[in-house]
Amino acid sequence: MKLDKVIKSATRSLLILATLVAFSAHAGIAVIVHPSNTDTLDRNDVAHIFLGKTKAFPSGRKAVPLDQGEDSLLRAAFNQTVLKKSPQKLRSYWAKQMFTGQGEPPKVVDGDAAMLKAVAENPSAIGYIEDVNVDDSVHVVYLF
Amino acid sequence: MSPKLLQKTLLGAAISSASLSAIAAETTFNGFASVVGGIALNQETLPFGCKAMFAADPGYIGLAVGEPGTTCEGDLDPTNQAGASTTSVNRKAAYSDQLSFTPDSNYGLQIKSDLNNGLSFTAQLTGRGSKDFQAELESAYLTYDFTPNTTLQAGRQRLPLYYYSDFFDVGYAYHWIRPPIDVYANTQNTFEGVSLTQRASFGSWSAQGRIYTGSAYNPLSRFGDSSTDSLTGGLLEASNDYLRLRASYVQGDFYVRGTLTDKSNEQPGYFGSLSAHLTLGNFFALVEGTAGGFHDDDAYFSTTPVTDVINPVDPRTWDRGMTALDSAMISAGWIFGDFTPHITYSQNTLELAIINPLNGKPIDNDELYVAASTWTYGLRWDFHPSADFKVEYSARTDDSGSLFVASEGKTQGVDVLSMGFDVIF
Repeated sequence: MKLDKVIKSATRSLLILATLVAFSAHAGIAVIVHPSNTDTLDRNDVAHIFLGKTKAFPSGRKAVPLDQGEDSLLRAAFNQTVLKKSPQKLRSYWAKQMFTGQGEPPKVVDGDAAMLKAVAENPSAIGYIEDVNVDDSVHVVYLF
Repeated sequence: MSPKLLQKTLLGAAISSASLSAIAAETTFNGFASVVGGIALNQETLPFGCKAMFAADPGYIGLAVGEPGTTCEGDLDPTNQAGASTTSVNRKAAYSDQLSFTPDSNYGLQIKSDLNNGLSFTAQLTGRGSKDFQAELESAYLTYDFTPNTTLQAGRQRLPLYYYSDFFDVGYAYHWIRPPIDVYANTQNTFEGVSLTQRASFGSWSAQGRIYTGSAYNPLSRFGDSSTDSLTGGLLEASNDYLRLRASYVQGDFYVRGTLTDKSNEQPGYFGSLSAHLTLGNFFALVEGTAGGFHDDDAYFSTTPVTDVINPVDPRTWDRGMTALDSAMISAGWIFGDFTPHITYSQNTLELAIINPLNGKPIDNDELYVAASTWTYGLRWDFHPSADFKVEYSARTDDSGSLFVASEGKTQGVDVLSMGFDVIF
């Protein structure tokens, strides 16, 4: 019976690992903005916007960051690769920022379809989706 | 405008603007609370049969007996050597040999209303154990973004003196139970006025500069009922993924009501601080230093009630005051999963003076100062995404000058053990 449980748990872990590997190997993440936004951004620019350290694109246009849902794997990958902050550090960071009255976490938009729509409608918006879901209603500024 | 009137005006403005644009305004609430218990250990025995207490909340400790820095626990309200009685300390802000939950416990609620078009209103209500947990308006200000990165704030705001000034009340935001009192000792924590902030980014660095002006007031400060008028200050911050650097400077006209340096005899002074915070993987460290004083070499602010009679031939009756304050600390911690052990060394020196009644000038004396150094050891446990448990031991040594110790004792010699919870919601 113990062997049964071990096999079950091992299989589950492998499945999760496989999903993550497959995800990172095949799925790129595209950071998207409104088509009228022709700015070029590097990782630092994107990170500064999503951490509230700047509220504008390099051109000076207002920037409104949009996050995927809290449990989203996409968001976890984004936080790790672009923001370079662990979940605990990010939580602690926003706890401080919120109480300074100087910033709040980005608004949440659940799922790629909703994110595409939100970004296509708002000239100030910046969000991220799986690159395979990008269409010409938005402009890609950064890929990872 | 009196602080209370300003408070009412701002709240009134907030409520009316909020109700007018009730459909357009989006209001968010964020709260925090800390429940901490502590007890003083190894208390030094002072003259008059007192024992030193640990002033955990120096912002609301009230004017201490005799010289500032003296926190005395005893059955009698001790008198100074000339026989005149002095105000007693706010014991709810200090730890003694009885377990207490008031000095470090607090709660707060922040209300933020986005009024659109770059305008928002923020207010924070805070209740502290040292003030019987009565909810007070800690801050209330309007924010306007001229451009996405240029912001004007008007109203009551936190005075950005220290690294953790902006969220000092939120225990969850830092690793200690309380930021070291050796450094975080300036007791005017908010000001009423305007501030202008500019943000900028350069490659991997983001920076902000802020300038502000206004006035500050604290009736329960450890210097007495004190205020600062014509307060003007600036702040420069720069950070990247690893390092955050900060420089802050403020100056103003300082006075203490009921003393010889009251409003008619304001003292222009300054306060500056430099800090750097480093993050390397799971290791972090913070260095912070402050310096405060007066522009005039002969300036000081008094800590003696003006009603005390000054006898020119008895120096024990002469006016006493403070001339300078500096401090420094270094703190380091390691994050091991949900646990963060940390260690901190901090120290401060408060220069005192006896004032010559014939010319009103401080008399130079190398042995008249209050100083302390503290080693703090603690552990933070993040057992929940929005709560933590902390345990902390601070071992404080009195390093005061011999002249001060001879008359007041080793007032800073007291250790404290504290533990408690922080939560944000």
